[in-house]
Amino acid sequence: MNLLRCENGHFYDGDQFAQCPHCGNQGRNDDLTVGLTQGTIGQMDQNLDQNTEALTPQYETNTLAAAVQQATGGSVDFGNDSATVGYYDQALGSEPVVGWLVCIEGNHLGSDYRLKSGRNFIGRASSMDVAITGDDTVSREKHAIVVYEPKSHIFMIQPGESKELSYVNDKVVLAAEKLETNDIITLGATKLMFFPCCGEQFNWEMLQRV
Amino acid sequence: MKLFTGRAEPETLPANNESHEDELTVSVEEDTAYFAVVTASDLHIGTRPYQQDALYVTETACSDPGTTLKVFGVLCDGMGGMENGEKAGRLTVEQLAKDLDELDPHSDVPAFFESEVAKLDELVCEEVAGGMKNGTGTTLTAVLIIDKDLYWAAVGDSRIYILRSNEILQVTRDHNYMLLLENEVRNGRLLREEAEAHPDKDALISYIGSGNVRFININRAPFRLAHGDVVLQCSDGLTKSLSDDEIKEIIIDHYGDLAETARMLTLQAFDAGEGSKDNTSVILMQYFE
Repeated sequence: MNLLRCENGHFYDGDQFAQCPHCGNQGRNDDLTVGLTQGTIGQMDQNLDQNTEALTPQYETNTLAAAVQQATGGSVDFGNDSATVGYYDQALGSEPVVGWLVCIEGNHLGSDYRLKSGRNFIGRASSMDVAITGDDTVSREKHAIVVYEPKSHIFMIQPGESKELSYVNDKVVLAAEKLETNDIITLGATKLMFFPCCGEQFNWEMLQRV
Repeated sequence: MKLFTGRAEPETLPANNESHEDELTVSVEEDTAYFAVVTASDLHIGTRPYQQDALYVTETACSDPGTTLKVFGVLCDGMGGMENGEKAGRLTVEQLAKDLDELDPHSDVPAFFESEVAKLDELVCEEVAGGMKNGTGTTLTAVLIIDKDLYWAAVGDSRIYILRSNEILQVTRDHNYMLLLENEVRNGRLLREEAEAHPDKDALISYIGSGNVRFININRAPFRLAHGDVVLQCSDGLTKSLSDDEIKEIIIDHYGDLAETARMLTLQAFDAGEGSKDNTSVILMQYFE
């Protein structure tokens, strides 16, 4: 027994633990299960979204892998004696992005939210398309709705179903209004800036036509 | 319903396993072929002063003409501060086990798992993390067998394996930072050595309680089980100590006694190597027809 005392005042056996086992993540020396904070993921995370191969385990061709592959519905490439089992990590919300909201004020400062075609519900619940989790001043469900209309390639904002109000550039939103680049949406204590990806200049339908 | 958070009692297997297996395989030639799923589980606290792994698994079950056989297992590895991690794991296991118990076996299982993951994520976020993304949460693996069909769902770095005859296959990916680093290596933006040396490589990028689950492993189509298939759910305590081949050897060496296999897996994970040992938990299911 090698009794040690950590910076936070916990006693522990230095023979058994390299660092204080009571201080959670701070040790980060061996096999504690820890999460990565969103900020540090950054660009790599986006790279992964665009590269499904990273999510694709490589298997030798054999019956078990083939059966698993069938169950997961993966795209299959039988080149070079190895089966590629596609897909089965499913990146949730992998629909093509049409625009982004970036948090410029609030507890998700610096985070970006993907917008997809059609209606994007904004709220605090993690089931929302744009989930401003943890901000109690944002309604749990459908505080506001951002719409991308793929035929005319325009973005609109409209009020949700909650009693809370939303604002665009500090003007209250009571009916559907067109959104322009750099418009600032305010929901409770959170401010989101709007950036389009799709519009007249570029849209995914354009690529499909070529 | 029982929830194991300490060392589990041996599963209710008949004392004489050989006769048990005979009984299960006896009526294959008749019109109604019986089939069964044997289950077992074990937890080991390792050298930790707390147990953040939690699991629930249904009892061994045999098919009964006219009814649908339903067997499931849920395993979580809590993370974050010691009390919160334990709470997140327990809460997730309790809620999902309850929902699986109530699930209509004829419903769309993959869709159920997807909506359940979103629901549990929100639950842990609100109940344990106080609505904040502060690194408190849990991994999740869930396995559901309906008659002869296997479904799975996994978030985080706890794994699901299928063992068939002499092959073992991990059917899930570890949703940790290494997954992103490997992608960078593949694209030539990072050296493999740099990736391997990264201090955050084990940090999770998708977990229940993150407020926005990025990745889940799920099978859209049912996986049809074959006689003798073993399904293993485990926390990273097992896979950090034992290689896939070592796990396979232990399962094959103890073939026929699943409860003993579960105990041997956690015990050998504890015995392997030096240094501190993480909580280790396993759920085993074996299909017979």
